[in-house]
Formats: sequence, structure tokens, C-alpha cells
Amino acid sequence: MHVLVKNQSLLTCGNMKPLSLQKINATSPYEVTMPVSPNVYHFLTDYGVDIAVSFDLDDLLEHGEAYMFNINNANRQRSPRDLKVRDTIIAIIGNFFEINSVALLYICETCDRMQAMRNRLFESWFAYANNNEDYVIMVAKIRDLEDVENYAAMILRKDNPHFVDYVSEFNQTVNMFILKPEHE
Amino acid sequence: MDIYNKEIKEKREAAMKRFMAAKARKQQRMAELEQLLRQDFVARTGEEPKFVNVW
Repeated sequence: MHVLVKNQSLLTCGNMKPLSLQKINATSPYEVTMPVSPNVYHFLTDYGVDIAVSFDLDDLLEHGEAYMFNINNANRQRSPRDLKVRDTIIAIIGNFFEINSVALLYICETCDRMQAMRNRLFESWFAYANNNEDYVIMVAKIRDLEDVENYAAMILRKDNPHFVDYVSEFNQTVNMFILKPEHE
Repeated sequence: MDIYNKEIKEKREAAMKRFMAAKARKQQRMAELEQLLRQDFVARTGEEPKFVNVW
């Protein structure tokens, strides 16, 4: 039984359409629930790991509507490699794109300096999910104001009606971190 | 050239500001999800989780 407690978040789901639990659970190895709001989803693994994912409206891109994807988990022991987690996440993201013609953003957590590992894991999952090459994933390394190296990614379906605009804006944004004015 | 440099600098600062804000929002959301997961874990198992990981 899942008993996630409702909580008032300051974050917004914007115009995101709620995902279809029926469709997700038709392909997902773990049963996914929506315990809090239309942009938070939860599942419990065979190893007793609680996993929550969220989609939050974000303005990293100035013009294109985009949502930040987050994953968090809680458990009492280090969990083994579990491919069902990958497949459940893929089912959730797949349904997100079926219903929402927007971009998905992902910034790897940096608090423990494992961001490169997280980026590799996420890229490998996505490569697996993108067997039909329906999506593009663009990854950028961004050194921030605190001199931390970040991995930021944008995922987009190729049939998005604003595909070119999204790709162009992501590239322009990333280039801003690379370009330096002369004599700076 | 100065105008060009000024424009690049302003755009870069604006992009960095948006990026830092996005990171801050992600941290806020992670804190919220952690709280939810802890409550769920305790309710389900009667124990506190040992690990709460952000991906």
C-alpha cells in the first residue's frame, strides 16, 4: 500500500497533462501510482525501494515549454541493479511524451560529485529506450557560478511540432556558457 | 566590438541566472520528494530509510 502524504508544493505542473496510469502500467514492470499531484509519480520495487519521479515546469529555456525531470528514492539497504526500475522510468517518460508535446530537461544531481556517473546511467537508459530513434537527447556540460561541473540534458520527440525551435534554443543557451566576450 | 561583447556578456549572465534558478528549483523539489518518500517508507515499514538518493 502506498501512503504518500499530500503536500503543498511551490513548484508547478504548468500546462502539463496528467499521465495515463492505465497506459503506463500496461507496459511498466512496477505498478505506478500518482499519489500527490498530476506531476508526481511513485512506485515500489521488489527490493523495497520507494521511488518518486516528478515533472516540474521550468524556464531554463526562455521560449519553449519544458519540464524538469527528477528522480528520488528511499530504502534501507543499497539496492542491486534492477532493470525493472529502468523499464518503469522509460514507461513513465514514454507516456509523458505521448500526452505532452513539450521538452523534458534533466540536470544530474551534483551534491556527491557523482554527476558524470548519473549522466552515463541516464544516457544508457535513454539509448535503450530510443531503439526506434523517436527521440533526440542533447547533453551539455555546464560549469556553473560555484565552479561545479553539471550535466544538463534535453529530451525531445522528433515529431514535436516545434522540434527545430527547441533544438535551436537549447543550443543557443548552451553556447552562452561556452562563448566568452573578448578581453574578459 | 564592445557592443557585441556587452551583448554576449548580458546573454551569458541571463542564461547562467536561469540555470542556477533551475538547479535551485530541482533542490527544492528533491527536498519535497525526500520528505514524501520518508513518510511513505515509515508508514509502510515502521522504520526510517537508511538511504535517500537523488538521481
